[in-house]
Amino acid sequence: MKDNREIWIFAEFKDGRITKGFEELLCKSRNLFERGATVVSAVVLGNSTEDQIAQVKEYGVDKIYAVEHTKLIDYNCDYYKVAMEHLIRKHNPDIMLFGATVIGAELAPSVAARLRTGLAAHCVDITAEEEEVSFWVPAFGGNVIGEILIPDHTPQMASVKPGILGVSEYVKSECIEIFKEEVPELDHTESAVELIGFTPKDNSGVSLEDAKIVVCAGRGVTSEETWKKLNEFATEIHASVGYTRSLIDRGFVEDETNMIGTSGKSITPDVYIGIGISGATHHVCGMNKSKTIISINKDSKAKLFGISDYKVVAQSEDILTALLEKIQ
Amino acid sequence: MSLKIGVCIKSVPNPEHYDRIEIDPETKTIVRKNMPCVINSADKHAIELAMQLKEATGAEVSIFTMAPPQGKEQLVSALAYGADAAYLLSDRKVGGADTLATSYSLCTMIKKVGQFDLIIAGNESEDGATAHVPSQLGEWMGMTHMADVIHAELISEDTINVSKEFENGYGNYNIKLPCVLAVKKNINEVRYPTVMNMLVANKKPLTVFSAEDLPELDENFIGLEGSPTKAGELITPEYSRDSKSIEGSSEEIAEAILELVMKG
Repeated sequence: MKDNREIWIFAEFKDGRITKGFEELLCKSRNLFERGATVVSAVVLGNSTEDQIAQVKEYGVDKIYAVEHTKLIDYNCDYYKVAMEHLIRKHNPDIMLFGATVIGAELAPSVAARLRTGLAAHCVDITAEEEEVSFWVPAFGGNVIGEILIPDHTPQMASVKPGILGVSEYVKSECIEIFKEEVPELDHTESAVELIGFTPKDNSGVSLEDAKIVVCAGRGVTSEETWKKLNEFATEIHASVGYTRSLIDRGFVEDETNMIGTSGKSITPDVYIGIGISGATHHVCGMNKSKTIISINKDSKAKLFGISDYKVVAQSEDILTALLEKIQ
Repeated sequence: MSLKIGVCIKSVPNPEHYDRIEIDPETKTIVRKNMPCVINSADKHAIELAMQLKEATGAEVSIFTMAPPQGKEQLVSALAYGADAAYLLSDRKVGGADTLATSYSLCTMIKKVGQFDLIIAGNESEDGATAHVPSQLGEWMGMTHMADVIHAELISEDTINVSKEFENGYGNYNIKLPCVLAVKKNINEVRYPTVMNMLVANKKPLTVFSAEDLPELDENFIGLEGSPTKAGELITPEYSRDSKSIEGSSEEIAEAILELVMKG
């Protein structure tokens, strides 16, 4: 049994706040091994890192490795990967975790390639038996979960889908060591990438991942009218709205921002209401951990019924109309 | 001199079959029979971007893949979109590769063929869906790379303007060539191959490399042996729940649903 194993977590920030996946990774890391001591550390990169360090500290990690450099002010893979590579080569962590976010999903494979080590992608779980760590990754649209092992290379690297592990109880460490690291390579690293501008998305309302209630639209939502009613209903009950790819195909929504499933977001609300959703596995993978699942579909053979707690075989529009009448 | 563009594609089992996928209880592997292969769908958008750049600048477009010999079929399909040449790396020695070994092998083949200004790939495959290969290819090639690209437009001979989709917004960048771009499906609408292009696709140059044809391949980095990740168990997840039917008039159903929502 190893006694000084160290797990690192890349701490990602969005709009100045630490992303939600960080606590999930911390919780998983703290509880991964049954026996022996595990040091759980966070990596913070930025132009000035004081505020970020303060946020990470609140979660109770053992160590924080921070790199401050003007080139790290905005995310740029060319600079971030150099900083990560430097830190990992210097301190040799056993496991290196990233959130499978847009940044994590680009940074992690770049760093893994530079270190010539293995990386498991978009994990839905990480388990350990004695010292052997298994990374569980979805494949074939979530219809299969494969076990990935990285037996002979360190660090063992993985990206984990935010929203999937959840947060349970974990021991917060009080003993924090903070290492401010210099990365001299950054001074003479040049990037071919120049940031021109950033256009924020209109993210009004509660984010899908934080929502207690989610109303989700699928292929069965065929008219603008039904889509409008679904949104009204969601607003009335303070729910967030998610959808499957068919809503993008129909042109009701512009992009994948609130698409739920293996190639979209993972959610764990108290109540999920699926409207006109067939229940293809790639969608189910993103919502099956919802506490209560209610599904409405006119097709009595819809697959989603089989994974629902409550099912309604009916025209979606009729039920939405009745729901709106009851509330308003 | 015209721009040289490489497009990496992957031959994947047709996703229409994924909901009925089976695991062989003996070998613990996916039963692949009755699953015909197609071009990974995001890769078609990579081909489309290359075609648009070809039309705009007269670029030369080469398609690359690593696959069993049948992968030729997907390369011919790719040529039917209007690409100029195609290259297949096919050898048992490079089989069983993870993303690091795959990107290394692709890199070695691409370097053998020539120098490229731009390499485009689909953001992720439908089967493995790691989204690693484009970034890792960029690392092996020593080229800068960007994933989640939803817009790309050449603004000068050596600079491409690119938009990347983040969770909370869109970043816009100028990238100096050469570079590797991984594109998402919403970057463009894929054209239908013209009859003319379909007819000539079979006559366009298609080169098949074995491992021996690429002596530069370092055995330490190829195939199953050269892959730092190893595949363990495969499981089919079980999601079913005992479901209760809510019946009655629309009003009664609405009432029952609202009650469940209130309860949380």
